[in-house]
Amino acid sequence: MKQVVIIVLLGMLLLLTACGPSVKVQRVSSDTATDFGGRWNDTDSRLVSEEMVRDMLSRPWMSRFSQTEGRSPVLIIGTMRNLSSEHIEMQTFATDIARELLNSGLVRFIASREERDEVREERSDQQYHASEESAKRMANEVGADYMLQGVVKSITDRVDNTQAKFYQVDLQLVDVESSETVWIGSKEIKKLVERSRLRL
Amino acid sequence: MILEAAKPSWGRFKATFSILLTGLLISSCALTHTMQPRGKDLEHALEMRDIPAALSIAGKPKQYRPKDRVLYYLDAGLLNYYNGDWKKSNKLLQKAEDAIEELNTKSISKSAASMLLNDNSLDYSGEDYEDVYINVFKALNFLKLGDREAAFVEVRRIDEKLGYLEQSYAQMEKELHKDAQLKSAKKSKNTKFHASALARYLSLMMYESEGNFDAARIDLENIRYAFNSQSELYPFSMPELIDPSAKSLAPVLRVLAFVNRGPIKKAKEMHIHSSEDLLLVGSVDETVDVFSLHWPDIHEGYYFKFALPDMVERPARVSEVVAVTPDGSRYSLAKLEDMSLVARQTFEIKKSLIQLKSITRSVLKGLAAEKAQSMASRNSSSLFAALMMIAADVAVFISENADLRLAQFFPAQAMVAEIPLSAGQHEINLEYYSAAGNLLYRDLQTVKVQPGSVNLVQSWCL
Repeated sequence: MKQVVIIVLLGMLLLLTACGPSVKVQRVSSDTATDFGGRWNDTDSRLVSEEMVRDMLSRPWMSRFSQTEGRSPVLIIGTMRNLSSEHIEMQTFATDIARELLNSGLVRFIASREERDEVREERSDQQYHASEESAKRMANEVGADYMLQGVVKSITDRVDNTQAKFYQVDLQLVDVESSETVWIGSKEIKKLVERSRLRL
Repeated sequence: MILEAAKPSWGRFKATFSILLTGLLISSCALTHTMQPRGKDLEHALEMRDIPAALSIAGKPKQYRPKDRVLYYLDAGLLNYYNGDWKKSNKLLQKAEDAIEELNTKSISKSAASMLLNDNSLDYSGEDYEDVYINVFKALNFLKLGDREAAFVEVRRIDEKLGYLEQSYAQMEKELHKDAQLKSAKKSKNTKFHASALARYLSLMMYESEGNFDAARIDLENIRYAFNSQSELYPFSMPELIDPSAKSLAPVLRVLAFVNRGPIKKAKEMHIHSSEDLLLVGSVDETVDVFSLHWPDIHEGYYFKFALPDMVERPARVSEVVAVTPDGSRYSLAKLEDMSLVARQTFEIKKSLIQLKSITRSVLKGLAAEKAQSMASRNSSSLFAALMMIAADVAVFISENADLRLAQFFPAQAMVAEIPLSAGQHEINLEYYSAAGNLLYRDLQTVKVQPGSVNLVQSWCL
């Protein structure tokens, strides 16, 4: 009889523990590295953009430009392509790069094509509806000196419950006038994702 | 040991307890049975192309159990594709894909339950072909949404999955050969599924649309390779496709039609008779199928029964598809992928493992029930013993049902045609015919053909 009581008590304990809340929310700092499924995430985007922008701005093209032009170069972000096997939010990656570039204080930065279209529309609108003093001038945009283009590629290898994920981010800076490539940067990320073979 | 003869009262309690427990597990049904909406209403709605009605039947509460969530996501995802709700379809198919990935981790508790009862107690984690074709439909949805880059991601995921499948089939084969018991059992088919012509065709279209003709040509070669290297999956002629690297400047309109319903699983009753150290396993349905299995320490005279899932093709409604252009030209669509055949062949690969697991479970459960019966008869009144014996038999037979779960709305075949057309807007009529030559359905679509775009008409008739 004693054994039956123990079995029943253990069963009840198991049932009670299963009744606990299944969702827990914890606030963490936005720069906390979170890697759950091994996929490309905000941390990868941030770290890659920081490192690549740092590398780009430390290369000889910067000093050459300053010497010949006597000012900071003006950059624009061109196409960022996702050639990986994951749905990567390339807009977020482009924004991370833009932020790093601007925060460096070493370059000037032009808004993207879509953003410029909106601004142009506003400027056009001002020509008719704003006062003469406050309306902004037409055809006075700053032209970009360089365009930054990039791709993200990935290779995944999987054996049983272990996955090796390899990401390669390639960026290149192209002179808008001469189409000359002045800098190429590459950053690789390798992740080993081990899934537990068992769960309860 | 289920009973201890030296302690009759405790032994009797245990025998009763174990039988009651088995009964309880079976009666709870949630463990041994699964649910998926079926029935005439659903079939009728599909035949009438009334997808909103089919969706409302599938979406009713309690149509799917939580452990069958992958089935719900697949069924609802595909129905939304047919309904033209590309975004919703992708959302559901993404959930199916995520759940399949998550369920690749084995649950200890569910695995134990599946060993004790049957595979229906496990969460449904999708058949291999379902996991691969999820990405085909996601890619098609993304193309409809005008997101070529996202569609490319899906095609790359198919490549990754096929690479992994090739590895795991090789591993499975190795393990089966290692298993001494299975050496005498039926061997699994040596089928390979390492390349999908359909996936490569999607890739070809996308590369061509972005002007990467060399990559598109490589995809055409890969389609040829898929046909040549996997004759069990492609036992038909490859459609005549235009070489994208050698084509004239005229744009090509591609027509992709999905026809007929994918396969279903049916239970196949199997019988086991034992002799010394040997099991004779067989089925007697349309064909007699018997094989032997070495089983150390078993004695002669036992008989067990169990059910195995078998994947069978549904009768085909559509036999021919013709695309008619505005000038009256008729283009017959050719079969590019027999998805139903891929489903059945890839299922065959796993069949030996399912079979071995079911035989092991049936024999162990049968022996345990036999032991419980003999103990109950020794320690109980004749009426109680008789009841316990019947309960044990019923418990074994009922709990040993086959896992027949499968997504219901995958098509059976993908057919294609390539039509050179001038740039501009065109009306294309797709005519679906039965084997008797009766027109089943006519799908009129207006399509804008333009260079640099994926000029694709998607259609279906299940």
